[in-house]
Amino acid sequence: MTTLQKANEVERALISIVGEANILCPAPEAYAIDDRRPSFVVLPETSEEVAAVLRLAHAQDLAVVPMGSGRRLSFGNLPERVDILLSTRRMNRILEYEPADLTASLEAGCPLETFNRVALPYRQWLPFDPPDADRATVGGIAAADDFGPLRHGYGRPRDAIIGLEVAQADGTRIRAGGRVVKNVTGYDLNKLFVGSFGTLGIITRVNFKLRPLPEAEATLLFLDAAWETLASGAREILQSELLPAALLLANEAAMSPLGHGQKALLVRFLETAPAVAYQVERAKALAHSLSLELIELENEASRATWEKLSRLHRLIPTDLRLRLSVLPAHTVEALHTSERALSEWLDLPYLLAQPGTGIVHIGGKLGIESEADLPQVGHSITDLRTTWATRRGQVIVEHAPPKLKRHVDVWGDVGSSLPLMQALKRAFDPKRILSPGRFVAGL
Amino acid sequence: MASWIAELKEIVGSEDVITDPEQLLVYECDGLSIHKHLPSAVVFPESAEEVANVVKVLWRHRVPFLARGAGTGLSGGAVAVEGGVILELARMNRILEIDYENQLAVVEPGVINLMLTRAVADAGYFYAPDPSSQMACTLGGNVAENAGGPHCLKYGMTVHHILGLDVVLPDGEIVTLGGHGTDAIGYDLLGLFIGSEGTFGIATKITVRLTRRPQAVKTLLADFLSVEDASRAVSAIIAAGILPSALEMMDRATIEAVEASVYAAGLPTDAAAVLLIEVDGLAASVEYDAGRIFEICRANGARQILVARDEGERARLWAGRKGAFGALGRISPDLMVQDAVIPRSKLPEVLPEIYRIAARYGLRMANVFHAGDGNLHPNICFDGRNPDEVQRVKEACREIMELCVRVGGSLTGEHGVGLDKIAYMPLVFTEDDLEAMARVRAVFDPEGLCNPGKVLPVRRCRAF
Repeated sequence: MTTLQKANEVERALISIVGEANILCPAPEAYAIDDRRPSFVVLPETSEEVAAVLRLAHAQDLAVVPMGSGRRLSFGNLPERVDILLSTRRMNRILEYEPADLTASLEAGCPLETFNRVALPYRQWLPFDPPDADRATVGGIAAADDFGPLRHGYGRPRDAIIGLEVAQADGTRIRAGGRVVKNVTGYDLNKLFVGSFGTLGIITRVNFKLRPLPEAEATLLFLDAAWETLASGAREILQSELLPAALLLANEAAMSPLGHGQKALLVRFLETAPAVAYQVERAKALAHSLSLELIELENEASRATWEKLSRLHRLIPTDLRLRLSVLPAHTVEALHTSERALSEWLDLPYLLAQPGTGIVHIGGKLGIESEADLPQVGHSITDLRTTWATRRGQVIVEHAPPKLKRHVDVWGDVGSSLPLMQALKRAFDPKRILSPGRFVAGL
Repeated sequence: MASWIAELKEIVGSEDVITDPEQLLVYECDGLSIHKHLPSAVVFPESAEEVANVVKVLWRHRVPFLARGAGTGLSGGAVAVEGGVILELARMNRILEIDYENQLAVVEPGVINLMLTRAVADAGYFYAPDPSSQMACTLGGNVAENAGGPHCLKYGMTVHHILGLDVVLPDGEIVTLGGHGTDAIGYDLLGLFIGSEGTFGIATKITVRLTRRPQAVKTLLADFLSVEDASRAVSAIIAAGILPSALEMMDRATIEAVEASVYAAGLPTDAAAVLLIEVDGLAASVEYDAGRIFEICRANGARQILVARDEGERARLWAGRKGAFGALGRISPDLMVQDAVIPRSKLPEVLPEIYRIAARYGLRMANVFHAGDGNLHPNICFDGRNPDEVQRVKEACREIMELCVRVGGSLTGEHGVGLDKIAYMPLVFTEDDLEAMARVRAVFDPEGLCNPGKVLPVRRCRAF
């Protein structure tokens, strides 16, 4: 069979699964993964259709990459091959929502915002604020275990996911976990799939435990010129009785879209009204004792600030974004070392750091003269990684131009558990058809 | 004597290998005495290296093995069902590092849960997951079972408090899972390992998250004249958007047993059920939430609501709750502590049905459980010497499991599948689901030597 004949045969088979209207061929530019365009974009409507597409791909040895809204499509190493891009956009239903149990079962393509709007009258929510939260789907959040500053108070999505439905590489569908908030029945395969970036199976349904929506919120901005002063404010808060939902250090570039020209410590309180009021007063006194300038934002203004921060990389030009994870006590040092290591290559870099969890986000525009400088940028990132590796820290490239990815592994070293990960990949995707090459160590 | 016994003695010293059948009797069961199997030997390693070396010998000789902590498990998880070797880790009980700035501690698996909290209490910290057996159970066992406890409602299970693990795999290799305080990259092997019931390997070093003590705590005891009213109060509290740190229910049979024991906490013995409710956090919200809970309990028929006035009263109420299983143990020769989960809103519907099932089988039933999570513990008092009664216990348990699964629940909320619930696994999982689990197990333990016969049905026979 010629290549063309095979392509025609695959197309016919895909049409029989999802219908002609739900296939894009050739794939529009917007669906390129790095610089590679898939042969087909398919938009199944049900998990049965997802499974059928995978059965076909498995039989024909076609590479499949799943996507939600596509906001994280650039996260990962250069793909080895992409034949089918599988979009969950049409799988966007709320399948079950039991307000009395604080649980919900959602199709993977359901936007986070859609669900939170539906849950609002019940005073419940999914407390996630990953980058581009306004576009995120719950399946994408699960596949990337994608978090933002609310991780400080609410943990990662991983901690709120109680069940999954997954279409495996060969098209067999399985369920993990369930719909109850506490469950240790069998192995917790939720953990296997959450954060596996579509390399072990395609998540078609996610069950969450929800949180009550806080009664009130406020955000305090502590402003100062020095990281150290702001960090000592953060340390005092962390060692006090206060319970911020988010605690974030932001540099001048990060603060400028918010209309401020100084470094800041942002503290978000989400609680009962009396507890928010109490914490605001306590934090004000703290700011005063450290002689820090302070701005107080209530309810809507507070929410808007964090929404803006979630879109920060769209508000200022970025084409390189990194994430460091260090011990919380090393957060400020991580800010300094990454500033030093990258400022040569990054124009207008923004820095966001969670002093409570040790997560640091860096983004900026690559300012290089020519492509000949790319290996140097790759070295800088690798050096930063090496510096932190000895101190339990790690550096992930969340977004980079494809030409830079040729010079740097976006994930870094996995450590002693790599053989287990490789064996899991072999066990769940023996033909390597799911997002091949994109995850750690080229899995 | 098998040649490998001599090899084990060389590793840990001959006095630290038990093979005498009388001494082995101590290790024939865990907290669930219905399943008994004698191990072929028990060894007492004192370091990760010794664990790894012992495991390497057993791997080479294809001898099955399992780790055991305090043996407080309640699913038959720490029982040598195939007569293998038990690695008793109680001696690996050192706290290796406490780091308040990063809010973590590094411990060996034999450290007792409550001892860790005691070690960090003066600095204003605690270790959040608190199983009822926390005075005895070990953190290694907690990791193996993904243990829960009354305060999991707010604070989460063991898996939410473990940052990293060093693990001896079934072939004796030592690997690090998770990040020891920072995020790890790649698949979440840490999350996968926690709760794998000792079938993926043996944790030898555990990095845990420490939690700051809340500013304020308030403990309430509300009593009800019907279990249904108490159940409705539970649902109403959750539906009101309040997240108590604990929301526990004890029924009359439990109350009577507690009050007749050394754990007597002054519970009203004429109540049909009591709710033990705790809220913690900032003083401002604790006061506020306690007030709302008071109103909700009243509106749902609470007869009397007590608020613990001081730490002493609070401790006494909790001693009554955590001692309930022990107190029930006095009533009959044996106690089946069951463990199932249902959606919280189904409590008013499911509880009466559980009592009906027990009555139908002529069994004495006591319920004491984590109501806020929907995590039931229907406990059956019985006499293991009476084969007919044992049979009725088994049949009643199966009906209860079927009932819980039918309303959208699951088989176990914190005790694990172990040996006890393998037969029920097909109630919640398809053949394909179980096959996927078996594939994961084979990745960690291709020879099937590590705690065989647990969690999943055995698929092949082994000769040894």
